Amino acid sequence: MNQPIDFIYRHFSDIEKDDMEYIYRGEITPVIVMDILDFAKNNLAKAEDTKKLKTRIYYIMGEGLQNITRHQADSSDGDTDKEAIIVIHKKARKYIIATGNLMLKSEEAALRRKLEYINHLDASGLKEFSQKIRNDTKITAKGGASLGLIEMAKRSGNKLDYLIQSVDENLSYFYLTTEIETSGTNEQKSQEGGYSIKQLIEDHENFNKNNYTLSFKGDFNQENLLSLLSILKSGMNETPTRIKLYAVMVELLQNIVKHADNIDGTADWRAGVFYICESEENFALLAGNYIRKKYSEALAERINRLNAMDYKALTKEYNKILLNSEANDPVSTGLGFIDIRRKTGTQIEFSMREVNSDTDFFIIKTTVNKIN
Amino acid sequence: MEPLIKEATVDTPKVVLDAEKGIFMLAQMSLPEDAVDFYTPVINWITEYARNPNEKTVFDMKLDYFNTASSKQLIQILLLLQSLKDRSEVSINWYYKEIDEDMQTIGEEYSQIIDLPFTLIPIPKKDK
Repeated sequence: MNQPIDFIYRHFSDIEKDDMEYIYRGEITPVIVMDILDFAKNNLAKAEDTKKLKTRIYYIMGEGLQNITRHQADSSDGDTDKEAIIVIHKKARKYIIATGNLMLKSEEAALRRKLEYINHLDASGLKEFSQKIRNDTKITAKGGASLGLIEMAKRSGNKLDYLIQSVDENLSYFYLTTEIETSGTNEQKSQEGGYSIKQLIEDHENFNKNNYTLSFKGDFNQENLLSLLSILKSGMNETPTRIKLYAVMVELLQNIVKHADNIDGTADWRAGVFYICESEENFALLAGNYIRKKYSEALAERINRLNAMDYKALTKEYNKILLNSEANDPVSTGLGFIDIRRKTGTQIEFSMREVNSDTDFFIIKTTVNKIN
Repeated sequence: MEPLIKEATVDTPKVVLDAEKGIFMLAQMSLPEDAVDFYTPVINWITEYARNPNEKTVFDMKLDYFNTASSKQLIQILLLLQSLKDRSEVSINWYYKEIDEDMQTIGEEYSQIIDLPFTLIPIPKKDK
């Protein structure tokens, strides 16, 4: 497997209940923005924070994402490294919305000035400035003036952390992170991990290097699964490739929803991690979760057995399970894996890593070749 | 017999089972969290219908997608329909999107497993 399990595990191992991280890299359209906001809403709905805080987070996310659709520069050279990136990160009591997008170098100085000005204002200064801009009828052609950024600073209660990197003579890449103030003492908060500009750049480089277009780490449930699927649908036209990708994704994700174990033995949530990678020839889907050691060997054996089968043998096996009314749980019978093998025609790769004496971390990777 | 009608959701199909009007249909998406739970009333309805079926039963399978958990339930439905063929003229219309070769393949395979007349009906891609 190309993606090293240790790397994925390192980013996954600190996950706790109600934590989540969602990263999307690609073209940001208003439809994608709506899907991502829906996704965030689903996750927020379950968190224990107050309604007021949820509204604030949702608002800041909306501003941050719309900021990209309004201000991103078009590279139009098809280089995916230049596409925008969106990160929604929640760890303990910290919510961070992070974005990265291409911008015109000619607009860099003005943006820096704007951000520095916003960052030097205190709460009342921001309020005043926001009102002044609102009353000003001169709105830039791209809309919003700098109101989006002002509102993000005002509502988050934190400075806007940013970095602008040069891409070429005409373009720059603009990274921005906003941490949202939540309840809890300062001492508690300082002990909790955040999400820095440095991490954002690291993730962006990692996404570029591995051709990731989407990743999700958190509680796998039916709502999150449906949101992830809807992002796939919005991001691609309906083609034979997307139809296959959708089907494989459902089986992989439902496998986690139904069968992932948690390291601490709790059963009210399912920790998992999921990546989509896209290359010119194919899509690769990676799914990882904890599994009790006593099941690891049987699972590995089952996948190896299916990998050794040709299409005819897989179909025979599929029909056998389908018609066996005793075997009612298709996941434990391996029907999902057989379906994936049949639909993709490719091998299911997997890798295991010991976590402790009774738990392994297990990742599987399936490849869906693009159909022209 | 009371009809069984369910509107589609993002992960469950539209269900129309109406003996009086002679409409038997599943449509759209089927990837429920608990497939057994969702399909139990459907299977119960067909079991009840099988006691005194119409002369003719044309079942329209118009699912855009179903997951493997649903496939187990769909096979149960098809087997039930097969079991009433000496009392009713049963046939299956299997709709699939023209570009969806997997759904076409599944239709072909089910028509081999189930001893009922299957008509495979491609739906042309909609022009935008």
